[in-house]
Amino acid sequence: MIAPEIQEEELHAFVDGQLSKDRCTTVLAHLGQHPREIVRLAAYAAQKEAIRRQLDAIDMPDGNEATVALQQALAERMQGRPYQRWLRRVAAIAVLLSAGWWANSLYHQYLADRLPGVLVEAAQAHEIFSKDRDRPVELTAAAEADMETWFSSRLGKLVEIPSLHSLGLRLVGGRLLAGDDGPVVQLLYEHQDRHRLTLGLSAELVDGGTEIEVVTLGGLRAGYWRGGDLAYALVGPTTDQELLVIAARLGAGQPASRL
Amino acid sequence: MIGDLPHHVAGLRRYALALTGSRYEAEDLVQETLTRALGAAHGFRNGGNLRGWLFSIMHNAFISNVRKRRAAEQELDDGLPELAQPPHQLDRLEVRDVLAALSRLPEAQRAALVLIALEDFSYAEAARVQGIPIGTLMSRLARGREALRRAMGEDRPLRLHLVGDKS
Repeated sequence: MIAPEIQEEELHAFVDGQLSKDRCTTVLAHLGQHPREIVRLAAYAAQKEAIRRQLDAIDMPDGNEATVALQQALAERMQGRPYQRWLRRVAAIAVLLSAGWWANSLYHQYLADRLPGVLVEAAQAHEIFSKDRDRPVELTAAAEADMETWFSSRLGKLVEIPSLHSLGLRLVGGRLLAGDDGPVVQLLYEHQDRHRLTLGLSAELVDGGTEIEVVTLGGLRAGYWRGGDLAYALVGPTTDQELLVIAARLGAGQPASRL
Repeated sequence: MIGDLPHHVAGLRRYALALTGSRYEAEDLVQETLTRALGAAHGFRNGGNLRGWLFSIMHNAFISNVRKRRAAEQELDDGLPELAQPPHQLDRLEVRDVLAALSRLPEAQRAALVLIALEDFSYAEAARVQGIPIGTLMSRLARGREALRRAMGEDRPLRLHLVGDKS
């Protein structure tokens, strides 16, 4: 009796338990006449089991906090819960993660909501927009008066665009961002040596004082403080010294522990 | 169904580990997958196949990362390069034999083997995850398994077994 032709893929389906019953019978008959094939299929089955076993045996932690946060956000999202404030925060974290901020301990503060929104938004906006050499801003410096009117009306506070010329910083322009705690203004400045700084402004109530608080965000330095009606954040690839000088120029107090 | 998410994420992590060969990159890939899933969650229908959906997202994320890396180097076929790659970083992990050999397979074959072994995907589901026809999946599976068998030297002791069986 000549067995119907057996396809190679049927042998694999046999190994994987995905072959129909009647074809199984045929394959078994085929194997009975071809012992070499039995050895080959046994090797496939063994390697399949070994792949599973060895991958299972690798000690994999349950995932770091970013993964857990994303997982929770996804679960809630898919359960149709209302859009939550911190979901946006998770998305923001994802942006920062992809920008290489991952290993930073600031992330914890970030999740714990201890960093002011103005800093978070300014840092994100800096990461996203400042590298754009063609169109980094919505409104250019030429529209400074328009920007002041627009930003003042959106923030509900008087916004004056600071001149930092004396520090070698030229205004590139600005844009309005949608922060968790209300609108945030991003002003982008460029130094003579081409590095760029973001100044964030918002009308949110920020914990902390009028002295600048300097933190590290991955490769960037950032500072934030409260001044008058506004919360300020400065972000850029810069030195503490430059941050402190600029902040002082903008009216921030100097940290007691520095200088 | 959504209650299975942690289980699926654990599976994604193992799949990512097999694909990338490093815990660090695997976790990155898991996060990228979850981020993409968050963005696409509105398109997922209740009662749909959550596991398949997530694995597809991961597969696409992985492919696009590989493509970015290799864009300048070589032309790509219908999904993943079939050319043999140099051994990748799985060696860094303290694992033996099968995983080390697996890591030397072309990514497309490795992906097929792992999906079938790890998650017990049906062929149809695994093909959907990878966005390829079943026939392509089967040929990758067959080539991958045979390459792995040869790499592990399991084709050599054959004669001994046979002599024993036949006598």
